[in-house]
Formats: sequence, structure tokens, C-alpha cells
Amino acid sequence: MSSRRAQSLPAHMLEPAKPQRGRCVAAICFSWKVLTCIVSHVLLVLLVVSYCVGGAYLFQHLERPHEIEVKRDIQNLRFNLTERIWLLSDDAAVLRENDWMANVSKHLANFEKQILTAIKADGWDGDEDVRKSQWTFAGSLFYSIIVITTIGYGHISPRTDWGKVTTIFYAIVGIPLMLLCLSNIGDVMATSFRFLYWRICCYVCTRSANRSKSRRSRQRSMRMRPQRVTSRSQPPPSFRRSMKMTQRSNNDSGLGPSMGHAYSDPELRYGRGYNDRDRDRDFGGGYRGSGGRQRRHQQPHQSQIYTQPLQHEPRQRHTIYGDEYETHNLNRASRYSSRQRQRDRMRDRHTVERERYLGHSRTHMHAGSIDDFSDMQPPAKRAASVRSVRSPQPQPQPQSQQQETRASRELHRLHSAPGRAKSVDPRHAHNSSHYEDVDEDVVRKTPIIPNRYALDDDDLPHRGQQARNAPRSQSMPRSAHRRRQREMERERSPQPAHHHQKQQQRPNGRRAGSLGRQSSRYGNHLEPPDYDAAPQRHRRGRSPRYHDDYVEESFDEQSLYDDNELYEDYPVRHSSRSREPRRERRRERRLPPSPRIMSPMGFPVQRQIRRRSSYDYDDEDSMYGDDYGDRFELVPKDRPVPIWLCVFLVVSYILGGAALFAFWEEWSFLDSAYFCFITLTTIGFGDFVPAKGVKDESEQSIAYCSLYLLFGIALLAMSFNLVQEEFIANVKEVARRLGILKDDEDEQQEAD
Amino acid sequence: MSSRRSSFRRREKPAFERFKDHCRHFTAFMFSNVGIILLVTFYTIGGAFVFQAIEIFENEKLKIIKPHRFIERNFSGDCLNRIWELTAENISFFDRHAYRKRYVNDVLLEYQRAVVKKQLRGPDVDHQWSFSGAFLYSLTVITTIGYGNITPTSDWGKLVTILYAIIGMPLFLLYLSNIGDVLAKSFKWIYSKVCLCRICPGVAKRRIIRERRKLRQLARALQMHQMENARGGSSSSYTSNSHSTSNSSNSSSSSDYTKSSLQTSSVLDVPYTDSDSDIEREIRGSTDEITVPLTVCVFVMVSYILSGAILFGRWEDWNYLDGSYFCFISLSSIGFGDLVPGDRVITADKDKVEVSFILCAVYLLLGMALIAMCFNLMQEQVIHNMRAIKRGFKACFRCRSS
Repeated sequence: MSSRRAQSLPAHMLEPAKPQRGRCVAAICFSWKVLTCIVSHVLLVLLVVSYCVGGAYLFQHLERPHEIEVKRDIQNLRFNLTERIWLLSDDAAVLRENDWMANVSKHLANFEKQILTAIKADGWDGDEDVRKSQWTFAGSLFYSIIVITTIGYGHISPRTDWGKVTTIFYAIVGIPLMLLCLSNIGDVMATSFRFLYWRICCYVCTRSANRSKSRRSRQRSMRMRPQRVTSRSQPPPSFRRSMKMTQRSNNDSGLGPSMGHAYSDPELRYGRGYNDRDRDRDFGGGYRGSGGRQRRHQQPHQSQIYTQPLQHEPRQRHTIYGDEYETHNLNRASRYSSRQRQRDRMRDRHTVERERYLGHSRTHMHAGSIDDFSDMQPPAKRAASVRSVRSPQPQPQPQSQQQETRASRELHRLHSAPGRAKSVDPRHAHNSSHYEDVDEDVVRKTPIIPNRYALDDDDLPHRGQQARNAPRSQSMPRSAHRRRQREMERERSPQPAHHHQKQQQRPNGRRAGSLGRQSSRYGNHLEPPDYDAAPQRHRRGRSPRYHDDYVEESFDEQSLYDDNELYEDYPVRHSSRSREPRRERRRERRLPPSPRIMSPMGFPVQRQIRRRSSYDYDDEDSMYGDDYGDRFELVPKDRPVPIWLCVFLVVSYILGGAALFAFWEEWSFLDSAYFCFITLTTIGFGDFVPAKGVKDESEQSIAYCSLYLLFGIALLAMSFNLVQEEFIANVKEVARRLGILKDDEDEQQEAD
Repeated sequence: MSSRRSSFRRREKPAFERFKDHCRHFTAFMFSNVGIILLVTFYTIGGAFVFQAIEIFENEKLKIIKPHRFIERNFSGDCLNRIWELTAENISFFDRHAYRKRYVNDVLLEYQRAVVKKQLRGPDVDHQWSFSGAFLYSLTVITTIGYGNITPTSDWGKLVTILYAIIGMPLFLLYLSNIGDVLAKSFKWIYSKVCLCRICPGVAKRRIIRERRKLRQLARALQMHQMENARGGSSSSYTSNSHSTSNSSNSSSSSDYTKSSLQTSSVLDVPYTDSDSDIEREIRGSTDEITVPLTVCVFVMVSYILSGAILFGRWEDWNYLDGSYFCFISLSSIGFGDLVPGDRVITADKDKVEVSFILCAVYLLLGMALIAMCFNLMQEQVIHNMRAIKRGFKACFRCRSS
């Protein structure tokens, strides 16, 4: 599924991304993944290539006889004319110049007309040599490529009826195929380019910060910090912040401006986190702290909002940042929009990760002993957890129970504390004195999820054990966690389990980690006013069914650990679970009218397809396997590459191509640049076509040209891929400044 | 645009504010649905004038610099004279073979080459770059069709083409997405009103009730299947226990859950109440939820292409195949240029604009938006289907594996 991810990930990260469903299942899933990867990339490319080759044979077969026939016809025409002139001169008893001239000129005019017809209608290229054909294999291949890339030079075109019909159907199938392939390639190239750019180019800048292991881990968290810090507006005395500051100053002192650029650039860019990019970020699992500056601007407003009782909150969904804020707290309660839901889910995960990093760094401070944890060795951990699931050791269970009770206690406290709503992080209350000055903001910004970290931090001595066992850590797939939960349930089931009590127990620390969503949902059951967010939904024009969905969903999950089947029910459960995000996605696609389309150029499509494919990738496995990818690849994966770099790349590609073609085809430089541009934008006038002038090496130059244009279009797709969001964001910014954009719809349209 | 303009008037504040507002409204309007059409049209017309001016100017310059290129040689007269000379020369001692083979044939070949060369070079610049020709040229640039029947010959023309395309293509894409969206929406609306009979509520209601019943049956069957699977597969003794606990504990809402799990597969959001209000809401509900079937989209596209074929066939004396081939190649933006709208469309007269020319441009502009719309609509369907297939495949896979 996550073939893109697979490309960007090192192998050892990819492999454990599968949840432990047993070795056999894991192997099958892994092979499934590999298979999908192969299918999506290698096979696709192979398909396109074979499609081109097949088309080449087909067109050669269809068109070549006709072409040769036309050439023969021309020859015959001329011979006929000669014969006629001869007869005219021979038959005439007396050669009178005027008569003769009149006759012959009539014939000549006729001849000219026939030639013109041959050129226009039959596509005769003026060459009479039967051995030289336009529709050689190379020429036909070139033709197929020209068709499916929609360049359409027109220097050769089908002349027979069958050729035309075939071309139509060939194009109908081939163009989408080509677009798919190009978008795929562009995606891969974009990922690797981004990776290259951020890991290789900017690695040089950040190298000095990467000296020790622990530091690296800290830095990783820090790397994500910049956005988050600005966005979250964490209290300055925060330890993290200060650390980051020192780190940064370190870097700055070490490497000067380049370092500053490396950080500040994306930061600035991220400052404009727009709705659009938000969405993408979620799917790519990328940047989560989005709106740096602007969010800070909005801060006072927002905090005002949040001090109010939740149900009175004027939820302005149009303000993007407000939107996100809601996502953090309310949204779990009231999923009024499906997109929100999806985003929220992803964000939950992200938040967990994030908090986890923080937790790590804090752990460093506290105990400093859990280096390995911070560096995350998923296979080992996972293996451990598997073992614990299979043969429940007596030790973890009491612990977890104890923990549970504490969790429930905390939960009670949380609910009893009205001001802090449900997103209070007990951690703050517990052990972080530097959060004294934490304002509402931070409190509200930290979702309920981090509960477990509080516990973790508390139980530092047991922590290793717990980390393996109790909290469903982010790296742990949900299924495993569920399984464990079920086990716990089983253990608990003999006890008289009261419904209400159970509900309170459930959102314990361990569960909260992953299913913060759910826990908060239970919280919602306890907090009816918050749950009444339905009007909002109505306002958004959505059917109130969502309300039901919502309940259903929660019970769906609950049932997961009420059921006792460990493995047997997995597929079914899985599908029933994954059904829900799918539905979300479908709605999501429908709700914002997606105006971008398969445009003739295909570039916007890339975007579309990419998004779609990312949906597909995220479809099921991302729920489980994404976490790794996110955590590790988050840094280079979705950072934007500056626009100027992409533009520079494309321009240099065009200029390089211009130089090459000027050399090969002996065109002037401007002509070749013009040719390259016209080709790469798929306009394809056909006034300059390679292998038109140089007949001897036509195949060679055709090969050059096809390679150039295929790679060039992929490159264009890549840079489009890289730049689009930023570019759209910029355009939106400009538009907003001009006052064009006011509401969402316009944004949507403007975006495309 | 507006910012530049507004900078002129920074002094008078209220007027400036008003002006700015006007500018804003104007720009917003320009990027709205109607405005984008105007924008594209004016951009194309402006491009036409620019290209016309550049090419003709450059051509005039070239004529002055290199006049010998523009001397029209009378090839047929030359040829005739030479053949006559040959005949007159050889008339006395007829070597028939040599005459035919060597002399006349060579002359004719030369003549033929000259004709071909002239033909391939295309018509002269003045003829080519009439207003309609230039308009069509700029249209083919921004739509990336690129017929290539009219191409810039001068360096400046090429440079300006590049710049023009850089600005024009995103603009046209904006146009496409905008208009495609509007078309898709209206098409959906029409489809829902006409084909699904939502105008008359009785029919729609009955249809919905029928559909729901069907879906529910399907879901129930699936649920039964699942239950059986789960029961049969589970070896643990906790099954009944946990079921009972869950049932007892969630008695209030377990029905909800069962409902939710009932809706397996694609049967996702079937409300389980047949209440009138519900149905009415669905009837009156947004048309976004409707997916137009593939066949309708394909039918629309095909009929559009065929109508174009008829239209162009009448102008250009093409047969239907050629006409539809031309329409397809144009609308898919391949644009070979082997068949191009001819003299009826691209008038040689500089200032004359014919109806057929306008129709041709409108056909292209509307057609691309229509194709975009159809792809827009089809994408939903196709992806939905693909997902269903994938899901089925996966389920199959999983079942086998576990």
C-alpha cells in the first residue's frame, strides 16, 4: 500500500511497520505490501512501456503499407505525366509551341494538385524513397508516446481510417494510464527529491547538531518543534523551548546563516498553513504544527473562545486556525465534519508522537536511562509486546490495573475540573513545575491523550515494562493494543462489570494513548453539552446522520475489545473498522466540491491522483503502519522544497535540453529552447520535431527525444507536486490580501 | 493588477478606499465563474493581437532584410519551358527512352520538390496571421492543443509564446476547473432532477424506500455471514460471555452498534428509519451526494464529439470519422494538426470574423470544460469502484491468509 512510503523509508523501518498478527499473516501482509509496491510502480511503468511498444507495432502495422502506397502513387503519377507528355509530343504531327504548352500546363496543374492532395490528405512527407519510412518502429514508438503524452506534434499522423479509430481508442486508454504513471513517478521523484534536499543538502547544515544519539533524538523532536513552538505558543520558560533555543543557537553559532535558513525557511513557509496543506499534511502525516505566525496572531482570540463554555463557542469553521483549534479539543466530541474527523484522527496520532518525544526528552531529564526507548527499536519492543499478548505474564496485569484505577481517578478529577474541560493534561499537574505559567492555551492544546505520559512519568521505575505493555504506544498497532485490551477485559469480565464504571475505566492511561478519540468520546457521554455540537453540523449542511455515525463508531470500537476472538475475527473487525475512515473519505471527497480535474495538461491531475492514491495508501494500513513512517520520515518527507529550487530545476532542464538539441539537431539555441518548452508543456506544435532534418540518425534522435520528454514531464510533475501547495498558498495569500478570497468556496476555486 | 492601479491613487483616502473596493470586487468577479470566461477570452484576444503584430512586423522586417526569400517563382512556368526546350531539342532524333527517363522525369522531379517545399512551408505569414488565425494560435497555446498549423517564425514570436504560455496555461486550468465544476454541479442537478425523478416526490420516495429495503436486506445477510464466521472461527470460550456482558452493559446502545455493524461493505449510510422527513430531506438534500453513472458521462462526451464532427464536417467537407477524429484530437489536447479548421474558420481576410470561427472557438473552450466535467464526474465513480474491488480483493486475501 504505502509504496511511496516504502520508497522513502529504509528497509528496517518499513518492515516492522506491520502489526504483529502472527508471523504468517505478517509475512503475507509484507508480501502484499511489496506486491502493491511492485504493482504500483514497476508494473505501472512496465505497463506504460509495453503499451507504447504495442502501440508502436500496431500503428506500424496499420500505417506503413498506406505510406508506402502513397509513395508509390507519387512515383506513378510522375511516370504517367512523363508518358503523357511524350505521347503528346509524339502524336502531334506538327509541334506547335502554344498548343503543346497549353496541353502540358494543364497536365502540370493536375499533377501539382495531386501532389498537394497527397501531402495534405495522405500525409506524404515529400520523400519518395520507399525504403525510408516515417512509420518505422522507432517512428511509431515515438508516435505512441506523442499521443499518450498529448503532445501531438503532428509530424506524423495516421492517415488510414483504421489508424484514426485506433488512435482514438489508444488515446482513451493511454492518456489516463500515462497520467497515472507520471503522477506515480512524479510522486516518487518528489519524495526522493525532498528527501535528498532535506536529508543530504540540509544534513550538512544540521550535522553539527547530530553528534550523539540522545541528542539526535532530542533534535528530532526539536526539528518538529519549531513549528510547534511557534504555533502552540508554548510558555517560554518551557524546558523544551529552551533546549531548542540552545540547540538552535548552537547550530547558528556553528554554521551560521545556512543553518538559520534551514530552519527558518520552512518555518516561515509553514507560517502560512492553509487548509489545503493541512489536509495534505494529514495524509502525508507531515507537518502538524501548522500555522506559525498566523496562529500566533489568532491566539488571543482563540483563547478567549476557549475560556468560554464549550457549547457557546462560535465555531467558525472558516477560520482555518480556529478550525484546527477545535480539532484539538472539541472536535473529538463533535465530529461535525468528516474531514475534521480524519484529520483529527491523524492528529491524535501525531500528538501522541509529539508528546512522546516530549516525554522522551523529559525522561532524559528525569532518569536519562531510557535512551533506547527514545531511539525507538520497534522490532524488539513489538516482539516483546507480542509475547506479552500471547502469554499474559502475571506481572503486567496488576500494574496495569493499578494504573487503570489511577487513570480513572484522574479522569474523575478531570471531569470534576470544569475549567480545564477534558483536555487537561495531568502531567502538568503532576510533575512539570515549569508549566506553572501554562495558560489556558497550553492546557487546551494538550489533548487528553498525554494522560498516559503522566502515568509513564510517574511510574518511571516500571516504565520500561509499561511502555511495552500498558499504553498502546503509538508504534504499536491498534490491533495489538486491542487484543491486549481484550485480554484485559477478559480478565476483568468475571468481576461484576458495571456499565458506567466500565466506561470510566476504559479511558485509562493506556488506552488514552491511542484512542484518545474514544476516551474523549466517553468523556462526551459524560458531558452532554459538548456533545450537542450537532447544530454545527446542520449548519454545515451535513445530515445529522453523523451523529449516529459517531455513536456507532464508538461502539464499534468498544465491541472490539468486548469480543474475545483474538485472531479469528480480525479480518472482519478490521474491515468493519476501516470502513469508517473510508466513509469519511468518501464524504470528504464529496463535500468540498473538488474542482480539479483531469485537465488536458495532466498536471492538476497529478495532484488529484496523488491525493487519491494517498487516500488509498492510507486506507487501511496507515492506521497501523503509518506511525513509523510518520515518525521517522516526518522530517524530510513533507517539508516543502523551496519554489525557487523547483523552478530553477525546470528551467535548467529546459535550457540543458535546449543545448543538447541545439547540438544534436543543429537548431539555434532559441529554437531548441522553444522546442523544449513547447514539448514539455505538451503543446507540441510540431514545427520543430527531432529527426525531421537528420534522417540518417533518426532513430537515435527519436530515442533521445523520447527519453528527454518522458523524463522531463515526470520532472515537471515532480516539481508541480513539490511546489503546488506552497504555490497555492502563496496565491491564496495574495488573493486574500487583495480581498478576493473571502470564503471557502472561493479558496477552493482559487486553489486550482 | 489592482494593487498597481491603487498605488496611483494613494492620496485621496475615501476615494481610494472606494476604488480599492471596486478593484477587489472586480478582481473577485474576474476570478468567479463568469469572470474567468471573460478573462480567458480577453487573454486570448489580446494574445491574438500581440502575436499578429509581432509576426507581421517581423515578417516585414525580414522582407526588407532578405528580399530574395520572398520572390515568388513561377515553378510551373519554369518547368513548362524546360520541358518544351527538351522536347524541341530532342524532337529530331527521338531517343524515346532517354527522353522519358532522363530529361523529363528529372525536370518533373524538380518541379515536384519545389511544390512540396512550398506546401510544407505553409502559407505566407500575412495569410497565416489573420486575426482569426492568431486567435486560434493563442487558443491552441493556452489550451496546449498546439495544432502547429500556425507557428511563430520569428524569434520574438517564440519568446512571447513561451511567456504567454506560462501565464496562460494556469489561467486556462483555472478556467477549466471553475467551469468544469460549475458544469458538473449543474449536470448533477439536472441528472438528479430529471433522471432520478426528484421533481415528482412520489416517485423518488418510492425509489428510495425500495433501495433502502434492498440495502438492508443485503446488510442483514452480510451481518449473518459475519456472525457465523466469527462464531465458527473463535475457539475461545469467552465468546458467549463477552457477548452477554457487552449486551447487558450497552443495552441502551448496543442496538446502535449492531446497526452499525450491519452496514458492512458499501452499504454505509442507510438510515434505518423510513420516516417521511428523512426521505424528504434526502430528496431535497444536496446534489453532491449523487454520483452520475459512468455511462451518462461517456454518453455526454461521445455525443459532444459527434455533434462536433457533424459541425466541422459541414464546414470542412470531412467525413464523420475525420470530424470526430479531429474533435477528439483537439479536445484531448493532443492536437496533431493534420486536420485543422480550414479557410472557413481561419479567414484570410484580416479583419473579418466569421460565425464559424466563433463557433469553433466556443466549441473548443466549452468542449474542454465539458471533458473536464465528465472526468470530474467519472473520477468519483471509478475510484469508488476501484476501492470496492480493492476491498473485495483484500477481504478475499485476508480470509485466505487467516
